[in-house]
Amino acid sequence: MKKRRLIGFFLAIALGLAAALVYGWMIQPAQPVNTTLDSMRPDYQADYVLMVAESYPQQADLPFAIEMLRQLNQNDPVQAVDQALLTAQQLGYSDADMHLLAGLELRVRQYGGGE
Amino acid sequence: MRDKHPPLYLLTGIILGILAGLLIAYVILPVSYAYTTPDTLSSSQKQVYASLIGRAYLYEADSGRAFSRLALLQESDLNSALVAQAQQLVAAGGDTESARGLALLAAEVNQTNLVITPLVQITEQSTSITETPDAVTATSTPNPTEGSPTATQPTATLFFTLTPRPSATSSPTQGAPYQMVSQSGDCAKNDKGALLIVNVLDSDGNGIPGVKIEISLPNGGSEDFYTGLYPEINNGYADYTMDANTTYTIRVGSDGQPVTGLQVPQCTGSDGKSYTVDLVLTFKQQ
Repeated sequence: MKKRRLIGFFLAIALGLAAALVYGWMIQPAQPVNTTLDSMRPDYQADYVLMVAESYPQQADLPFAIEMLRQLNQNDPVQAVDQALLTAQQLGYSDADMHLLAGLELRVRQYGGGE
Repeated sequence: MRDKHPPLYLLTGIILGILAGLLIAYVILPVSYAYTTPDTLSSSQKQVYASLIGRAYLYEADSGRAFSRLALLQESDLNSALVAQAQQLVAAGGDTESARGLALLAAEVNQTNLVITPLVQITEQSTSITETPDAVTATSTPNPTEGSPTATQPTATLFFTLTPRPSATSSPTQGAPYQMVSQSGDCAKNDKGALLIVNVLDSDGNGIPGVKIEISLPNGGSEDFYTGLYPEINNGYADYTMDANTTYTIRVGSDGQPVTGLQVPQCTGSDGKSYTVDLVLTFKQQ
């Protein structure tokens, strides 16, 4: 009898745990707060990279531009620009914006990706 | 004989399980989000994002695009948020161009017809002038205007591909240097202030936002502050808290002449006690 109760007790814990996890992960998950730039949707990330390209047009600005790109990809800023180029192409960015992004990609790559 | 007691051990187990599950789901291993939107960014990341918007605005002068981007942050009081961040950037010695861009955007919230010349165009022109005199004619010609930037607040959808490029309208922040036209410290005011108040006006007497004012510091360095952070007073208004025992030098705009020997005005009241008042300087574009 005692063993049966013990099994029932642990089964009840497992049941409660499973129910709470389903609720907390699937039914009512925690709302996104205090997120980081690298978790943004790809189109927002592409626009962020475009802003970097617009804001740092000079060669001398490149280290600052790379710092900003590291917010999206800590290890590989070139990858961040490449991804933005792909997204921009899919979204049909204007030629002027594509030109800015491509220019940034080239400059960051020539700089050695900030390494 | 059946047990009449309720199975409390089962209830206890379920409650313990639920508590543990909620702890795991919301604290220990919460759902990690991808594909988030800018309004969910942490405050520090929002500041990075906003400073980039300000800087991009300064270079591209595309207010429609800048306000579309700012709308994504869903700030309840955009003007105050922009002013606060511009002030923080200046106070922390951060990126002055971002601060200037944010100050200009704050001014544009109230003055929607404000148009600036894109910094990238100015840079390109100066580069061309340096490289070859022949290029001056070619690069000085304004680019054809494709349309006016949209002034309306956009929705948080994809927006950035169709915004027109900025037109090459003359800039209120560039051009002729500013000259001091008046300096006053009115003892009759008896305000006991120690502010250096600078008003920067264009040739028509309208306040100009986003003008950089460089002020010398007692330790030998210098600090920048900008007009346009208090549009509720005047777009050309800026102030700086002076130290009563320090003599300052300021320069308004990048080409302005330094104004030296600025001190907090000292006045003497009828009771023989001395007090200070604000020093008000007015600069006008010639």
